[in-house]
Amino acid sequence: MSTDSIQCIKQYIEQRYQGGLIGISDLAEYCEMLEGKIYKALVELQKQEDIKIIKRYFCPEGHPISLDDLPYCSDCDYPYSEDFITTIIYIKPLVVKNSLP
Amino acid sequence: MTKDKFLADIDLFIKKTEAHCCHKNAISCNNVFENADLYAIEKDLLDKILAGNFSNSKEQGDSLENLVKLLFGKIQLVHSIEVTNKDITLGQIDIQLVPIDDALFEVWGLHTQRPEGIIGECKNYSKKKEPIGRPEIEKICWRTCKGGCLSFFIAYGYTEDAINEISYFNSNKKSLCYKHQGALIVPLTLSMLELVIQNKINFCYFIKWAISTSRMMNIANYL
Repeated sequence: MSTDSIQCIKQYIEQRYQGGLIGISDLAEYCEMLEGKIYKALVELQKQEDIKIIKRYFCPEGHPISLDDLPYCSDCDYPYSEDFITTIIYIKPLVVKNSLP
Repeated sequence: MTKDKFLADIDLFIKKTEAHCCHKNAISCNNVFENADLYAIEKDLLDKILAGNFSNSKEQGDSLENLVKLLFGKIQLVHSIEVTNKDITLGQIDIQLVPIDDALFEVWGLHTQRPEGIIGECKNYSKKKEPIGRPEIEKICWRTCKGGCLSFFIAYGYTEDAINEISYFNSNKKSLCYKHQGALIVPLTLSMLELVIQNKINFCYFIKWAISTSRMMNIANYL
C-alpha cells in the first residue's frame, strides 16, 4: 500500500475538515491522484478505523437508489441496466486531529 | 471478428457509460485505470506472443498469463493478481485476481450479481493457434459454478461447440449453479487484447463491456 496517498488523506482531514462528509473527488484533487488510488488508501484507513466509507447509488437520471433496490429506481419506476448505475463515494472521518487554531 | 465493428461498439459503450457515470465523487473505469505508459510493456509482450518467438513451451504458456496480469494490474481497484499455475480446490487455475473490495464489481456493473472470486484461464500452448473446443469449456464451467466465480477465458479462438457451451452456461446459470448468481464466463480472444492495446482502449472499460456482453452472450458475435 502506498503511504503517500494515506498521508495525503490524513493531511486533508487534519487541515481542511470542518464536519460532514468528504467526497472522494475532493481528496483526489487535493492529493493530485486518481480516485482509484485514493479509494485503495481509503479502504486501508477504514480497516484502521480512521474513517468510514459511505457509498451512495444513483440511477442515470440522478435519483438515489438503495442497495437493496438496485438496479430498480422507484422515482423512474424503471429497472436500469447495472452498467449505468453510478456509485458515489464519501468518507466520514472517525479520528480528527484538527491542526486549525 | 470484424475489427471495425468491435472498435465501434466498444467506443459507443464507453461513450454511453461515461454519459451517466462520471459525476463528481463517482468511481468509474474513467478514474480507476492508470495507463501512463500507454501499454508500452504490454505491446512488446503481445508482439512476442503473436510472433511465437519462444525458446520453450513454458515460456510460451507464461507469456499470455503475464500479459493478462499486466493489463489487470493497471486497474487500481485490483488488490493482487497471482499467476498460480497450480492445483487449488477449483482445479488448476492459471490466474487468481483479488479485488480491494466490492467497488471493483460495482465499477464493472456487478452490483447485485457479485461473484465470490475472479479467475482467469489462459490458453496459449498451441503453436498452431487452434481454437478452444468444448472439453476445455466444460472444465471452466464446473470451476466457475463451484466457486461462484467471474471467469475470464483467454484464447486465440473458440469452436462453435465451445461458444454454444459458454452461451448455455451463462444463459442458464440460475438453474445450473443456483447458489452462486455471480458466476459468469467471459470469453476473450487475443485479437481483442491486440485491438485494445493497439488502440489504447481503457482496459477497465473493455472488461466492463465484455462482462456486459457475456451476460446475454452477445459477445459470441465478436469471438
